[in-house]
Amino acid sequence: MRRRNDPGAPRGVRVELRSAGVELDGTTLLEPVSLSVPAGGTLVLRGANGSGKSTLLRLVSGLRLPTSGEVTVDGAAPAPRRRAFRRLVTGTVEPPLLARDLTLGEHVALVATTWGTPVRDARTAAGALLERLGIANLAHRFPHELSSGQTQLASLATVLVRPASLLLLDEPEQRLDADRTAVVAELLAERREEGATVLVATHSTPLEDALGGDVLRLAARSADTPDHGLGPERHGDDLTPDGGAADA
Amino acid sequence: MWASREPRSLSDVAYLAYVVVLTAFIVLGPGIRALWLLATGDAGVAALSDPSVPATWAVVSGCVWLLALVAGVERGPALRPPFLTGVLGDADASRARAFGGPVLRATVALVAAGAVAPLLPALALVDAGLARPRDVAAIALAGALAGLLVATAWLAGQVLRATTVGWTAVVALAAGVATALVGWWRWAPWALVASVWPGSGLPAASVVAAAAAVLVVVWLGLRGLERVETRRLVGQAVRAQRAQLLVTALDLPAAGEVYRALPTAGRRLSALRQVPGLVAVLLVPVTASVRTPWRLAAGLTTLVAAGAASGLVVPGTALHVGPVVSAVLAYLGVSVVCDGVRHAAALGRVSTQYGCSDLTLLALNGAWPLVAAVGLTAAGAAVAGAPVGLAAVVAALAVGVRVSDALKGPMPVDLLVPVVTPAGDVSAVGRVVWLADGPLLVGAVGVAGGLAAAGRGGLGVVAACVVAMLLWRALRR
Repeated sequence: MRRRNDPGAPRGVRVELRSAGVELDGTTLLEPVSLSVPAGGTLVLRGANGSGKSTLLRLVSGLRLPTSGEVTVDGAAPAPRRRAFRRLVTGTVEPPLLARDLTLGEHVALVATTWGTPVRDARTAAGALLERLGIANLAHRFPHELSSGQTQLASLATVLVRPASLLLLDEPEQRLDADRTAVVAELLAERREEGATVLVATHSTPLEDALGGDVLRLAARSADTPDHGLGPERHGDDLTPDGGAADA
Repeated sequence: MWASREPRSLSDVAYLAYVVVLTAFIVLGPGIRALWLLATGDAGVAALSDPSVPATWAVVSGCVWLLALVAGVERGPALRPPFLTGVLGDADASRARAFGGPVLRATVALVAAGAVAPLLPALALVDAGLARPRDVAAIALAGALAGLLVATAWLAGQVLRATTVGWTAVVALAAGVATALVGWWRWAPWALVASVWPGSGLPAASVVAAAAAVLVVVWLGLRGLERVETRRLVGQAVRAQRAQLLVTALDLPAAGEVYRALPTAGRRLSALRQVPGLVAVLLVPVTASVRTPWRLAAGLTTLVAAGAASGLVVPGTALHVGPVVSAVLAYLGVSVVCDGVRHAAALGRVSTQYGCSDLTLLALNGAWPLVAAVGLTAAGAAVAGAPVGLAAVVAALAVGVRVSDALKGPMPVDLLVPVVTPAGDVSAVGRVVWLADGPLLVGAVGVAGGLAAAGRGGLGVVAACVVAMLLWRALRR
């Protein structure tokens, strides 16, 4: 496992939201929130359905623009149309698409190949990752032959096999049993140790505990909350660079 | 009991009759009149009385029967709504009784279509004094028998095992080509309509052969219907219902996806070759397409046929219809090797999945369809003595239209806005044009190709339109 100080390891990026919120046709999707995740940090988003966890991840991934405030990744606004930004970021905010006519093993290896890994090494990396996720026996299956849980693991494999400085994961524990959720948590922790910044929205307390890091709890809007975006701002825990953790 | 769930009132039936009559008067009437004027004109009569017409009928008949047989594997005539199919399929009643209604309706429709299809050309020959009225009756009967064979082949395709149907189609195609080469086709069942065509001079043996074929296929079909697994019938019913709903919702790409074969073979063949990065990506679609072998074989055969057909000329005229046929066949055939293109198109501009841009991925996945289409149509044209260059250009443009189709995306909301005119709301025209822009553009490529074959211009303009549409859709995402 590459360590944070390893010169070959991907450097993490700092994520900042300054009073960033989203309102659509008078409905508040995300109340203005301010937070800062340092490079190599971890932030777990918790909250009820409709509290804005996915919306927050979409703001950071650049798939949605804030209607108020500002979002920056590595000091600049998210720009998913720019190749340099896409090289930094990976995740399941937009579920990965599996090619219908490639086997699972081929697909994961193909993703690695397009990110510069030689084919032989890509096959090895894909095999090792599928082994860790407990689906190595499915390497020769086509996507339509996978169950929903296996598809979720396959999607995570395509996300984790490529290098990235920022991982954005929206409920990665969906359709997974407790053991597989623990494996996913381990893999994310390893990526964090390698220097990546990790933002995860989850309903899973075991995943939250396994990841550690800071937690932002978004409260769902009640029916009494007026839809004019004038609710109080909620601030996540301010995350300061943790010099101790960087040297682990 | 099932019919009572969606009862039709008298006013519903009256409205349906009103729509049918209006459609017949407004659309069919002028259309038929235009065809009649075309058929009875000098060029039309020359074309219909050409010695090659009986052979053309034989080829068309054989192809339609083959297509019906193969189509039955995915969607046959013995279908009811999924729930009813499941209940009746496992019920104690005979399948012939349970599914006889839909089979009979399909058979009647196909027999009627078979009888009517050759009527107008036959009547045109009577009008020109080249045929007798009793010839028309014989042609209509032969056409009806051909329609009956289509219906029975369709049912047979539904109830026989898919591999049996596949090999039957291969053998039938080989037999058709072999009998054509040695001149024995005139005794084959597919010479049925050709044998009664005025002036064909063909023996009536094919009528007997066709009648025997009908008996055999009907026996196969009915026997197979009793034995086919309910699960298979229900699967077909579910897919048919899903496709119908998607067509109603104007989502034709998704409707097509319902019937696209899923890969099952060649999973141990490595699609990722030990070559440098982007070259490896370039080769992935080649191996991937082998994983639906029957679909691939059908597509590649269609591409060869597209090339062979590119030199067709309407008999007795100088009308080059070959490029139109070639463009349509190339557009259909190349679809089987475009799964990589569809995957790249579906990813969108902002996907972080792959390490290259979506346009690069699109280009890499588009190379195999282009090579396959151009190579195979050129080969088919060379074998058939058709213009190779024209066939290759038409095929390349058909690939461009396919890629453009993949990049189309959802229907613009603006097309749903009513367009009020003195004739009423014509917004449906815009939606139909948007939905059918691929086939329309392919038709334009074919017509321009035909003009080019006649030494006239226009192909360059159409090619520029195809390229412009492709670039616009690729860059605006």
